[in-house]
Amino acid sequence: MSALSTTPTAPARVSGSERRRHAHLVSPPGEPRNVGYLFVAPALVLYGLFVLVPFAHTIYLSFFNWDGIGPQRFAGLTNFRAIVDSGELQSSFVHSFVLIFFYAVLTTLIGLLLAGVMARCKIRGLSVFRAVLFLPYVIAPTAIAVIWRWLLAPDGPLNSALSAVGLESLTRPWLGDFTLALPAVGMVGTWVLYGLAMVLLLAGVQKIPADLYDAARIDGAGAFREFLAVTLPGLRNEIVVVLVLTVTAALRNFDVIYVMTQGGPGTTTTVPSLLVYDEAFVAGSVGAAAAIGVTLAALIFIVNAAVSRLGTSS
Amino acid sequence: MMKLAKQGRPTSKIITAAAAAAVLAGVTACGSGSGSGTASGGATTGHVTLVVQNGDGGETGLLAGYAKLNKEFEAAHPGVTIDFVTKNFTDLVDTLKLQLSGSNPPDVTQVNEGYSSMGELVTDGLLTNLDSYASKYGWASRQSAALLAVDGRFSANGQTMGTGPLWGVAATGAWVGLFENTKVAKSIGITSAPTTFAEFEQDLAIAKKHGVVPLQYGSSDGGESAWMLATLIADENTPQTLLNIVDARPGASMTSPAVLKVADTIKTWADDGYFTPGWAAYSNSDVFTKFTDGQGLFDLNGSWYVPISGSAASDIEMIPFPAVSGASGLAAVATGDVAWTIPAKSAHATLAAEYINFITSQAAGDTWIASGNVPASMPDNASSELAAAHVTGASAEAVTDWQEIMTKGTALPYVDWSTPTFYNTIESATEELAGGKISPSAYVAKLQADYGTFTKTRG
Repeated sequence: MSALSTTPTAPARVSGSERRRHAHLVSPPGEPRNVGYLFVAPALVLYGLFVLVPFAHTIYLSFFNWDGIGPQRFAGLTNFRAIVDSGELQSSFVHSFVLIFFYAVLTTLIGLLLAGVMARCKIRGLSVFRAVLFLPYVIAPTAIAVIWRWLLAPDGPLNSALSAVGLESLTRPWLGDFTLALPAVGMVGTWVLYGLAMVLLLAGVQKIPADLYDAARIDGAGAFREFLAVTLPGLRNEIVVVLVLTVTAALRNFDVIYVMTQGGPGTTTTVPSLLVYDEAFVAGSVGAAAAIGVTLAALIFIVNAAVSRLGTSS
Repeated sequence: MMKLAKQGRPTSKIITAAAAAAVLAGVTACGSGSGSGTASGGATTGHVTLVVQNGDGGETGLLAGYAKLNKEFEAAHPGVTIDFVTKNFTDLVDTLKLQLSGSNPPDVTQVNEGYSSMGELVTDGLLTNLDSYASKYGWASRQSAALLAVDGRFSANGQTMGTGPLWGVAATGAWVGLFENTKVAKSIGITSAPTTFAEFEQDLAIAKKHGVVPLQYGSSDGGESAWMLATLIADENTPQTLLNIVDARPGASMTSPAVLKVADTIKTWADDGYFTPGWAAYSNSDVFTKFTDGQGLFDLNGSWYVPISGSAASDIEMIPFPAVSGASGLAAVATGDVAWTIPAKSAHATLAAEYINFITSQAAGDTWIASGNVPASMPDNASSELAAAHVTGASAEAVTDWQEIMTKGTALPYVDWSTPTFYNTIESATEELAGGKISPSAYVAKLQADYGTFTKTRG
């Protein structure tokens, strides 16, 4: 700002009358001004048009029975009551919470471990490591699902590798196993997201002043103690960001499940967003789909609000 | 709904999903491009672009047939260009409602049979009633009344399948039967194809004893579960049992002893290890690829897979699924491929009808046979056509048995046509039954929960 005011075209050059006219408009730097709305307007209009309006419309639709084209019949809360009554819908939400463990909790732990290690020792070619570990996050989810479906196939590389080293008893039809299909899909989420967690946390680690580590070492802290006392508290905000991103990814998971298991075997890997798709496009019940979608959005909002609160209060 | 599984070809639905966006983008581009071409070209030079949309993406045999017929149609209609838009089956089904209610629908499109596709489009007035074209062109004489009904008839309110006006006609047909690898059979001492249900079960046991996969089965996409359920309901009981269920006749129920018997059979086969190891992790196309590469004795699948490719293709023959002994007559799940319809907002309805008339004609049947497909309208000289085109093995059996079923037997509909959600219900429930998670009686109760709810809403 100060640099700007010393340029030759500074307002000081304007005539006296103009200066007076401007005087009441110019508020101290940093204060909100109405002109600001003009700058955010394009983004706000787009956001409103493509996010807020459809979202409000979805909420509206969730109170109707509608096949997608014909007349809409008001249904009150029946679509939401169906969610409470249906065992399949309930278990799909339970599956989502299992996925949160793999997508968010496990991911954050691995990210912390990697960030902690990388913070302690100087690693040559750090940026290369970072890029490689981040790579899974850059690949399109559908492509990832295709890759893992192949890796986990009954006669795929994973089982072949297990057999090759004499662990034949451990081979499974991973994605066709009633108990292991959900964890298998969850591990894919962990694989995709730990790179993101690591990069965000590593950026946070580099921001922690080095003298805090020096102080800890002088006080005789070991590696673990140092991590607990310096690294972890210093990363609080980054951890919240990582959790919000990964929890959201876990709850809205569709593409990976759709490609890898389609909710099977049985209904062991169904998730709410898969049911949204089925209701809307297979069963032709747009209202029921909207109700599940709204419930899912509310759930994501609540969980993330709780996570954010956790970050600020601790 | 059979087509739901067709999309799971060897490359499978993963590619489907991956390609979906690209395909959609391509379709949008094609649609708008040809649309403007129609408008400008039609006004100045008399050129018409007929936009024809199909859901046979990945079906090379069918697409080759259509490519040939399209050229012939263009040659017979100077000034007409056909813009043949190929979509994957799921992409077609999932986007039809939005597309046909929009302002720029294709002139001709395939529409899947059943309540959730054709039924809803009829309810919402998005399809053209084809009755007048049917009588003009005499479609009743080229396909059986039963086939026309199952593929294209719906009551005008879209509530009852199989009766009412004609909305769609199929060009090719497909039936569900038993593929047998004769070379594998001989190697374990089985010299002839099973003619009764009991013989079939004996062959399964023999294969199991010799360490051969008795019945290739992949459940992850649901197709084979639905075909097995339908086939067993008809062949372990009577064809009429299945018809009663799909037509929702009074008293029809999924908890009847007839269906319970089928549930017991599926569970027994699973318990005895007759299915592909790890079956729940495979789609039907995954296991069919294994089968055509020489693994396994049987595979229950559809004639849409002919002409068969794969290293064991020449050893494979296709037979109607054997019924319990004493059953009268031949019966198989046999319907047309996804039906051809004219959207209500089609810009060239008359030309569209002419196109449908052309590709479903008996003359076109020769092209279908030559390209290894099963024509829905069988030419009178089918057997000589087969010989002339050197179509043999499973491809020839697919055609001749289709003709047998149409003329002498009972053509049955898919059981999952009964309700819009039945396919998914059958998929997950059958996996749970075969995986030992639920009992046969819990299985039929699950099916009834879906079936009973929907048939009640239809009154």
